[in-house]
Amino acid sequence: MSHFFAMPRGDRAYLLAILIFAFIAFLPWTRHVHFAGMALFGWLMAALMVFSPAIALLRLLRAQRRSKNGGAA
Amino acid sequence: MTLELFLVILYLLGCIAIGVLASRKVLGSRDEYWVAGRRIGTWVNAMAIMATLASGGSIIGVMGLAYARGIPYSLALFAGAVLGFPLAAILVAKPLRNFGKFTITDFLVFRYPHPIMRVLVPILIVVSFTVYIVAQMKAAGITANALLGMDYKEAVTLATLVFILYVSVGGMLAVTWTDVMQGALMLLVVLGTAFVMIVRAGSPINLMQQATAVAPVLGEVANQPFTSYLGSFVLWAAAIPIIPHIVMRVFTAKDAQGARLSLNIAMIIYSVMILAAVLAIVPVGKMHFSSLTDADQIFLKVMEQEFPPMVRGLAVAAVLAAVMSTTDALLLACSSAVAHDLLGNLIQKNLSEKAGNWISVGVAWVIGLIAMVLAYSPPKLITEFYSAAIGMLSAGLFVPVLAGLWWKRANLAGGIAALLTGVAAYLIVQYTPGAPPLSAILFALPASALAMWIGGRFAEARNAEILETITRLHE
Repeated sequence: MSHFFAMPRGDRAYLLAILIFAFIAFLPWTRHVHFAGMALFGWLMAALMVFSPAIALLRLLRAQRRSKNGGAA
Repeated sequence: MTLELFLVILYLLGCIAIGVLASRKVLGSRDEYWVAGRRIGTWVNAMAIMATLASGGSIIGVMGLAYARGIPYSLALFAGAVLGFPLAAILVAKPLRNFGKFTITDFLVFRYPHPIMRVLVPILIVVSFTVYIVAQMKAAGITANALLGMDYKEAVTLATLVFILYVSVGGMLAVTWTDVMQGALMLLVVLGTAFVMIVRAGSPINLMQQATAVAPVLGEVANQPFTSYLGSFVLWAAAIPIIPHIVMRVFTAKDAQGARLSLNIAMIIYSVMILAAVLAIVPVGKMHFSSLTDADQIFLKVMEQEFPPMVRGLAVAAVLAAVMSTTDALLLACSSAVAHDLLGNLIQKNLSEKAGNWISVGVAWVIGLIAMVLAYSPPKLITEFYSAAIGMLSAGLFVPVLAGLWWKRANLAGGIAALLTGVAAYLIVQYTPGAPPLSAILFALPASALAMWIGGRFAEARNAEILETITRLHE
């Protein structure tokens, strides 16, 4: 028996994807590559700020639409 | 009277009027006062959440931090905050909304029923939020000082009195209404200013290239030890899911789905505003003012140089809006921590809901005035200052809340051990000479998790009744 309460698979995948993205952003090489004068690390943080809530919102809206359609994809 | 001052007075009177109007609805009921009757719609709640997080720190502080420590450092900190929202939406929004109480302390006391929780959690909240409020007041003070020519202390006093007035009488409903108005004002000023800067430079990329050619340090990851970058990111990602003034917004939502939607919509708006401030306004500031002694002044300097009095008046109102929309929620959370969590079981048992709410009004005044006096001696770099205080809160609460919601083996011993170990480890590292700024959380969270694991693994069995309730919260 699992010692954790179950989390929907989509939520788990989303959390894992974000963790992997953050891990990559914090790797040393992102500090040394520059674009428009700013380290890639900064651009990756900016991307994370936009995409993490946007993807989460899209997932929520899709789930809402699915539940309105009675579970049909 | 100058045009700037007239606009600011108009704005302040608007806030007070909202507080007085809301007071007619809320002072008779505890549910109305603390969580606005749990019927705030998704879009209104999203705007209110955005305005709550977008503090003086987010307008004045984010630009000050980027100016002093480089844009990547500032973005690491705020990306952590933004990431915290989807985490909150997935990890805490549904079960906590289904829990249906008022505060994060309510949940912790239910999950780990012990007087230590009832006493220590509210104290932690009040201490860290008072620091947070002090930082906001500095933002209000320097803004009114720089753009209106008001004396710093007079400006702090005026802003404090106005927001205590409308929070104390209007409760969560007034806070929500004013937050929506304040959020719109902030967006207008920050996005409008950024748009003008970008149009003048031709494109955001041109702007960054011009600024980093003059000041390469602006785009470098070299201004701080790398543990500070990681620490500031982790600190805010861990703070958002448990930070009481955000969690209270979850309780105000109509339902769990509405709470999750609001959190994510709020963060998209917030991210756009922060990115506009950091990537468009800071570069212009760095090019024109390369050696400010108080980095937090950078936005004000840009406004002063680039815009006419009418826009400067709006900017002052926007900064005050940012300060007040956060401070009112902090004050309400502090007030609930003392009046509801700490005193709730001791003196309010025999009081009517109305009398209980009036105690909250008194508490809001006391905490607000203490913070005001502390703000008379302002801290440097407000964002780093209040982030350190919020770090202590997340070091103490993150593991007990998350484990309490998701780990079936979490128990009383583990909860208390995780809380105490997290706070102690955080304070020890924070005050160790030479420790990199904002890195203490990187030691405190693992220590807290280890304490929870040891408690859960080796202490007494879990309470079946509590586990049954937690199971229902996930359904």
